[in-house]
Amino acid sequence: MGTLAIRLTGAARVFSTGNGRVPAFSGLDLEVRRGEVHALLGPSGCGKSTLLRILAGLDHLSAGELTLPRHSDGRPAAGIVLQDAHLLPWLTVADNVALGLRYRANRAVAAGRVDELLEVLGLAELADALPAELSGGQAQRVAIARTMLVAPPLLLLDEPFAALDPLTRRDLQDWLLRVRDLLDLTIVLVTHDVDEAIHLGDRVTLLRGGSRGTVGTWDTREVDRNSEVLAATRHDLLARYAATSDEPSTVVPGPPLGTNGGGRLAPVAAR
Amino acid sequence: MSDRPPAWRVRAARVGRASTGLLVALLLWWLVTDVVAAPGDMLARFSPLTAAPAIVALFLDGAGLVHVSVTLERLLAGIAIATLVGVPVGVAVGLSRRLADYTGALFQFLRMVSPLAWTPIAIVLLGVGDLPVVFLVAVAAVWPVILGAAAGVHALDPGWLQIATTLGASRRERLTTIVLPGIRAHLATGLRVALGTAWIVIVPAEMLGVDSGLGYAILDARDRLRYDELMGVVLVIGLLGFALDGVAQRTSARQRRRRHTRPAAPDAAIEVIEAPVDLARTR
Ligand SMILES: Nc1ncnc2c1ncn2[C@@H]1O[C@H](COP(=O)(O)OP(=O)(O)OP(=O)(O)O)[C@@H](O)[C@H]1O
Ligand SMILES: [Mg+2]
Repeated sequence: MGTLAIRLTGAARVFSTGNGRVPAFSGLDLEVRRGEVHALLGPSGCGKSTLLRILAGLDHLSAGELTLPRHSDGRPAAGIVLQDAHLLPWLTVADNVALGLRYRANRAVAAGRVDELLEVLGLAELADALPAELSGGQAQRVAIARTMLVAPPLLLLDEPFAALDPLTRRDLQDWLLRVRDLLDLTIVLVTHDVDEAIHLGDRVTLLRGGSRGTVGTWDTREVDRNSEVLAATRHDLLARYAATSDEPSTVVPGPPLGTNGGGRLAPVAAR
Repeated sequence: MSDRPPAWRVRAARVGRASTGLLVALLLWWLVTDVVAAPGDMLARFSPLTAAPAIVALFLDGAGLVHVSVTLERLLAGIAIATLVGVPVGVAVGLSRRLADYTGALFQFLRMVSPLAWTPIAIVLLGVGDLPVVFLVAVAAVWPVILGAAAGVHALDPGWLQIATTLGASRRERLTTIVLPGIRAHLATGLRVALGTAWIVIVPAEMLGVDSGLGYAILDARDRLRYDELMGVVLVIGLLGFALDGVAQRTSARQRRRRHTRPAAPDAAIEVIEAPVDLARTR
């Protein structure tokens, strides 16, 4: 079934706040295969962003185990793109994309790659533009290009299209699928949008509300092509999404709950 | 057909009003010294009618220019020192909450002490001459620079630092590629405030033990009972300060345009240092 890019077992992240210890997520098992687009779906506050930040090395687990590709200095070999582009307003598009070249960690990356990447990603005409001159969709493409320049085998996208209008979002989704075919990437995509998860994801994992593990994982590779299966999967996911969104978020992490809710449609057991 | 007047007209009207204000002030000055005051009065000696020719004479014989250039040199030296000290301190305080906690009260205290209060100490330690003047200017200018740099760090987008981190930037690399370029707009505002404060401080500072500069020129004119010259120097001080602020304002406005960030109000730069950005653990 292909080798794994990420394996998380019994993972938890607990924040100590003024009101006690608040789990962002707990009892989480997750496996992401190399080369797949793995969509993470879940109600607000279930810990999706926190999980992605941990995968990117910006935060750490409180408990559990995480295996993923790493650089020689121990840093996860993962690039992250956030909901907003966070481009540096004083640099042109080309210089923003080239930001990684200014860091010693990427001295192996060839400078010529910037032009190549701008070309491949359809951003060549924008090379000399300033971020303030870009539309939201263009800015987000530049942000993705900036992360891809340093060639992380793992690309983490935290609701990258959520702030865009529906038409632009559709455009960028298709763009991402094309880019992903061109470059050999493993992508973890966080989204609120069931349709986006099905459309972009090879597999979809639904995280449980109340920060307690996952409901299950659905294989959606063939779903797009078969409208009946699509409708059924969509229906199933939406129903479970709604159900888990209503679960109260208890503050104290209890015993680990089952991580595989077993959807009617080919839910893939964690292996 | 817009009912709003074109931009050049709005600007011309503004300039017109500003000029009117200045002219009225000039007229009042003249009224007080030449109409209200009796001819033999002390007040009559400060008349604009004598100040104008006196200042022309001062510049024609070269002394005026020397005073101006000496003052500007001391000003720039003081500002340069304030920048060299203030930027690293401001950035450090902006980045470290702990450091901000340690220094917050201390800085507020020091900032409230008029730089001129340090004069005797400056003279004891640095002797008489340029050094104490430059020192006092630097002391006056360093606070707005520190606060501007710290405010700039607080205004940084945490996303920039996080992205840089995931791109493999070291702490130092984040400092040079994100923090320093990212605070330029706030720093420009801080420097503008610093320049204004320094300009106010440098004149009295030059009244202490130096024999050149605009502050000295005022005392010198007084000692020679040349009140016409004294008023002329006051005018030059005001004009130069006006011009300096104009230049600083333009520079900082250009910085703001370049960064497409909201203008940093001088008041914002004066805010108490808090909520630092953590470079090490970019949350
Ligand atoms: N630094 C932090 N300190 C304390 N609590 C935090 C911190 N970061 C996240 N949390 C908490 O952890 C939980 C999960 O947050 P997270 O942002 O990961 O959720 P999310 O699934 O991304 O939500 P959304 O869909 O709204 O983006 C929330 O309850 C949040 O309040
Ligand atoms: Mg989130």
